[in-house]
Amino acid sequence: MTEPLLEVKNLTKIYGQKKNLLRSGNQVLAVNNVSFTVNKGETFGIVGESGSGKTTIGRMIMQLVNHTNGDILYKGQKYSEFTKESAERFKSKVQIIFQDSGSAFNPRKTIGSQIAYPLLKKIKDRKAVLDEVIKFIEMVGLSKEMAYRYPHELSGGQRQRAGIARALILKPELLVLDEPVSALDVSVKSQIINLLENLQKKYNLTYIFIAHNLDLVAYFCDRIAVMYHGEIKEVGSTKQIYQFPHNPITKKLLSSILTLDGRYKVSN
Amino acid sequence: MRRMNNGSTNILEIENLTTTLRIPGGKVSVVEGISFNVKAGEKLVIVGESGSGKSMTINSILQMVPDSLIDSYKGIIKIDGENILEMSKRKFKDIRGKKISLVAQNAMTSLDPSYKIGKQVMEIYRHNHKKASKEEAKKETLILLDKMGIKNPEHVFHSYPHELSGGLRQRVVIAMALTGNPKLIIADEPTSALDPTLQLQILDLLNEINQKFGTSILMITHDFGVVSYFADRVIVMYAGEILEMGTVDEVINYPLHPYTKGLLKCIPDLSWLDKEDKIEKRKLSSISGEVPNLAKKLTGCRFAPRVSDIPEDYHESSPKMHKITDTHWVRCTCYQYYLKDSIAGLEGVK
Amino acid sequence: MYTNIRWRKFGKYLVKDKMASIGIAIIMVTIITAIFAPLLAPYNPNEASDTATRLAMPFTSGHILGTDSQGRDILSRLIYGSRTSILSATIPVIISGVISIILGIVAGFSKKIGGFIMRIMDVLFAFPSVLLAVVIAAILGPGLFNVCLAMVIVRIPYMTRVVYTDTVQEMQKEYIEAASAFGRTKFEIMFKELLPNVLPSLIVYATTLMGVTVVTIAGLSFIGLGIQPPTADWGLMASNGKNVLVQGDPYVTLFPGLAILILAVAFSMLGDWLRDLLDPTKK
Repeated sequence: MTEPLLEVKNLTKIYGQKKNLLRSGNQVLAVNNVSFTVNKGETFGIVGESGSGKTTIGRMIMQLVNHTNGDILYKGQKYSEFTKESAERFKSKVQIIFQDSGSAFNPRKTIGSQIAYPLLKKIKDRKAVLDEVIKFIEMVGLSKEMAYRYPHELSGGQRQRAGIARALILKPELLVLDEPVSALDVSVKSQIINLLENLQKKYNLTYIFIAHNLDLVAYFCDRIAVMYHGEIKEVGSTKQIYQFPHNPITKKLLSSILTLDGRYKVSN
Repeated sequence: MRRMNNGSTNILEIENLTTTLRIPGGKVSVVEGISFNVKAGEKLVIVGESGSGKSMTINSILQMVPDSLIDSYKGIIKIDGENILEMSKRKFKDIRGKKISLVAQNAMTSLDPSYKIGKQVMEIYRHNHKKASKEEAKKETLILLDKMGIKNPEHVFHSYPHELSGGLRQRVVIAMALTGNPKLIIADEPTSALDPTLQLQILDLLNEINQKFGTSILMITHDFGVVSYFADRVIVMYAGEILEMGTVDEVINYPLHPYTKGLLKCIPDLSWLDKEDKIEKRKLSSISGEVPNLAKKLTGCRFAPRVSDIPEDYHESSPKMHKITDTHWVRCTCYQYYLKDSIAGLEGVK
Repeated sequence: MYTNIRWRKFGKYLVKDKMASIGIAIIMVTIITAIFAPLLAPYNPNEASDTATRLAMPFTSGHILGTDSQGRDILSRLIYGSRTSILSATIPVIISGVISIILGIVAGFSKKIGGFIMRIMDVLFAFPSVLLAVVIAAILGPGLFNVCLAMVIVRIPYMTRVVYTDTVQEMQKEYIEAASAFGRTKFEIMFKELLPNVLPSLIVYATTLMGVTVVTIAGLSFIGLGIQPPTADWGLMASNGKNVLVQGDPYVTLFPGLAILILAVAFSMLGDWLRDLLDPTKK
């Protein structure tokens, strides 16, 4: 039943250069020896404050940033052993949704053309691509005229929907959601979360949800990893984490959740 | 830093304020006909989404709308009994800092990156206390930084803004706002750029300032969690209007406006986590549609386009504020419809 | 659809923005004058007519703008001078713009190559641009072509830095990361994603430079390194007039000077307008 889709083993990322004759060493350990497994069809949350390395992990999974040490395995295959062909296939199977929908789209290109370009690489027939773009735009709850608009002409929520359409157009299996709703208004936030939930069911998607606070994560994720200073402090099912937190960092994060009845009460 | 705290006087009185901006091709009222008071020693929070007019409300109070944008202010803004809209710029400058001051959302916008913290706080202190000598200013600044819960004030005093963490910077900004012993602090989403644990610390600090010095606080936020943790009273704004106003208990536990209700339901419910395994999580509800564009002329009830579950005849053409209790007001006739299914709630209010 | 929007905007902008219309009108008039110079000029620009007096005041018989110290008709020389001015203003700037945009984007995109390119630019920066132009023109020898070549070389570091700074700024934005996540190649990121975002500010800068270039070339001509007399050139004319400036004949310098000024201002109006036109956030 639980089939691992993505395995991260002893992953380490060091930014900056080593000290040598010309440079003074200025290295930052962004991610330190992190291991976790994401199973097919689940929503895996990575929570941590700013600077905890959660975003870097997302970038490494996306291959936007190279890792320094350790391994990432997608369906059992190591990233480092990707052939050109399998890397190409991988790129369409793993996609990302960015936090700031405002800057995640090129301001000088229409939304439609930006959703289309991943597909244009695969299909040459422009008419077919346009049909597909319109289909996805409507699927995420936008009207098709939005395809001809520029990013600044859309509201934040609409842009994030367009971002989802762009990520889904290659029919991926795994989506990295990098704080997809933290820049949005409350009522729009829940619209996007609901949309993501529906799409997950429809396409059997696996999500990695990166967030800095625990309240939405508790609602949205099946399992959670809590990060602090580049290390994973605790991994477990959502219920485990919320009911029986072990690590003081987890407890601190939990007790900072502000609910409608005041602070979240951490047991023990 | 001592002040009398007689709960009945109003530090801030706003009556029928309408702020109109000039935009290419016309005018737009970003705040329309709002009235509210902030009492001495009170913590009032305005909650709303982007485009609700909450920022424009505080920008109007602080006269911070750029001259190139502003068309007109109508109504009355009284700070400590004086209408600032009929005041010279010079006189208002005096009031700013001494009677009201601002804590901005992003600490970096209030701090100059090229000067040390101490110099910047001292400068503000000496602006508010013209007679203070340099030594005095330094002494007071250090005391103030210490009061802000900064562990090593001397070190912070000699640091540049970029050398401090986000939380420390926000504390410094709050210290700057307090240099003139203001009666009212206006806080513009002071915690939304911070991590949740820091958010809690800053809210606690503001709370402490309110308790110790009796300073009133007017905060704007988009987060109902902050409201329930921090506020005495709440104002819910939408499209430039106040839709609902009341004590925290009234608004959160017995909301009457469909917008308030909708917003509250958008907040994930965590109670299922404490329960037995069998209990399913409640699905997150959302409000359909988006905040209207104010540049288009709005008529009638501004929220009506986003309501689907209320019979047509309940809608009022241009709803007025209806008084429910002494403190609870709502701008909607639909509340009568909702009252039917929350009779129990109403009894709670009474 | 895409082009439709652009063209509609183009028309709308021109009507709305009066300054831009004036700027474009001036440039158009200059270009037309340059093309039809032989038809428009009342006299031969390089020879004094038999009847002409030297230093005739403006509005004297037959010479609307008067004559210069050699008795040549100033209006005719201005009309012919528009040819070298418009050519020497635009072509060097366009060529160095094209080179700079490639250098700047590549330098901003790749840190390794960028360091190398920008160090070379820094070396060029170390010399004052006029001095550099003088040295290059002196080595290459005088003449319109060589002066233009000198201007190309002199402008490259400035324009490259503008492109480079913009590129580095744009590189921080998430859409670049998004483009690479969604399978854009490096080449596509540089010239399909970055280019439309860095081009507008370069165009604005370039149009301003066009005005400056007219003036600089005039300066080079003045010290004998640029366009050679008797070719009619605004810069040359202005500098020729300096001898008689204090004698009570300021118009010899005044008219070509005004022509240079008006053309330079027209280019900068064009630049502002182009920036708005190219910006999708302005409607």
